[in-house]
Amino acid sequence: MKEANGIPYALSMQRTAERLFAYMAIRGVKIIDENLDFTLDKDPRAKQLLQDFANMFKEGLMVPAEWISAQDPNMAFGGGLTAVLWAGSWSTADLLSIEGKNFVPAYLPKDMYWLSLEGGRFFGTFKTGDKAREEAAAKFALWTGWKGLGYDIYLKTTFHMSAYKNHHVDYGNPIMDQVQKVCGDMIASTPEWVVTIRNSVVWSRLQSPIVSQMSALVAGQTTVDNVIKALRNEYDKIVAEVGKK
Amino acid sequence: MLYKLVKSRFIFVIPALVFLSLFVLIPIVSVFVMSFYDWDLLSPPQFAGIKNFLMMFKDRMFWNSILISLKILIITVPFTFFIPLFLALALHRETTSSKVLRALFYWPYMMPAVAGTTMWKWLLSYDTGLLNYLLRIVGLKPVPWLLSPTPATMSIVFVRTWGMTGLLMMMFITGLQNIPNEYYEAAMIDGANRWQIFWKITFPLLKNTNLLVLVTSIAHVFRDFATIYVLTGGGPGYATTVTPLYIYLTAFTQFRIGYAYTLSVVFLLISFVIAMISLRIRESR
Repeated sequence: MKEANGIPYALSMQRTAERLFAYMAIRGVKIIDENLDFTLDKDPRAKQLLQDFANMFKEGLMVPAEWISAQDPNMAFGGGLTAVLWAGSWSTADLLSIEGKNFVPAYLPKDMYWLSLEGGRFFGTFKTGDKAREEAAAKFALWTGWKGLGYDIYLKTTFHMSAYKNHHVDYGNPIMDQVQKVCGDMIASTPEWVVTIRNSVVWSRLQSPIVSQMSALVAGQTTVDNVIKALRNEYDKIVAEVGKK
Repeated sequence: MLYKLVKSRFIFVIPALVFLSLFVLIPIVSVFVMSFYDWDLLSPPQFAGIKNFLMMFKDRMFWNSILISLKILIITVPFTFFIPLFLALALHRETTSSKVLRALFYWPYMMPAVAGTTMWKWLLSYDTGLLNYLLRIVGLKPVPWLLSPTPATMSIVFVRTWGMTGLLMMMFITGLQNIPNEYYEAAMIDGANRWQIFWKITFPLLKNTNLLVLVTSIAHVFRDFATIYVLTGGGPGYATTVTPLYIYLTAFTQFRIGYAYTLSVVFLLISFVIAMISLRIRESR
């Protein structure tokens, strides 16, 4: 891909634990399983998979600055340094508005069930039966309908639907065809365990340590063994603090 | 009653008091109160007693972030003290060229921190940055300015110094312009050279300005969030995760708002102690 396009890197990726989650899960390795147990140190494939991920930066396939110093991946992708951008569905509208770029949104990988859900852990919480989290999700739904805050900065600009009574989705906008296709297919094919994990407090709290540990790994400041050990410690600490998984 | 109030002149400070209470006092008190609560932003806050404080003592990452903040502070402050002082000495005379140069040096301070830092992020970018482009042109290896702990720390120090120099230089210039010319004339008649004049007259008479610059510099650097958030995002790993950034991550990526309040209270107290120490050191001289 690099040689064919004459570019320094192949792939840009947003620096979030969600992307790593998807990268691992589509290869059959879960950081946390559906019982919310930390499984990274139990799965023998995990170590190699994380090492492969770090190697993609070392071998110039991915952009180190994106995971080490939080460089916006749109910069490398929009600037023509990479041929592919692995991004969240929420970026679709933003990316489609980049001028002078001819690209197509697609699923990664094409033949696997998609590991995401539009609205993420917030809307997914309705499935859990946990009253407190359901109430939290309901509040988020209300926030998104809050004119001037959630509504104007989130819903209106991203073409989402809302319970807001005067909400109008511009279905006539050409972007909607692509946005709807991406979002609709994702909702239809997201397995329930993804929702369970992404809805959990423990996953939410583990995200920041995952990003920092992976940043250190990509920068060569730590080893895969230490990353897994550090994340296990973080997980145990979070479970002890929260009092439940 | 109203007459007495007007006569006492207290009425004139009421607007300032209301403003201070609304935007300073009440938020500070709220931070202290909320530091005893568990709150995830969505559910109602739950009283947690001193749990957050006990947790903080065991939070290795928090103490690590304090050490990183102190390290950046110790490296940055000499630069933010001596570079503005040097520039002020060179530019404090009222000439056209010095006025133009003063405006140029002050300009970075006028820029929003995020805009200025984003500009530096582009310039320091490993792949597309101007600095590495120039290094490649002259046949040198590009430097991982933001990708390795030491260069990343030094880049933060540089960008912070760049952003603050103008303000601190203006403080020094004000101080220098308040020193009566007679002292210099008397010293020159007595045969003092420039070096002696600086150390025996200028520097001692800048005592109050030095103190002001030092405290302002410490406060700006220690509480800095935007520069590091934009420039390195706290990376590589945790290498530049300073305390304000760690508090932000705790609050807005982990949604542990109550605990973030606790960390803020402790950070505030540490900042206060540092400010007190710097005042004491200066006063003892």
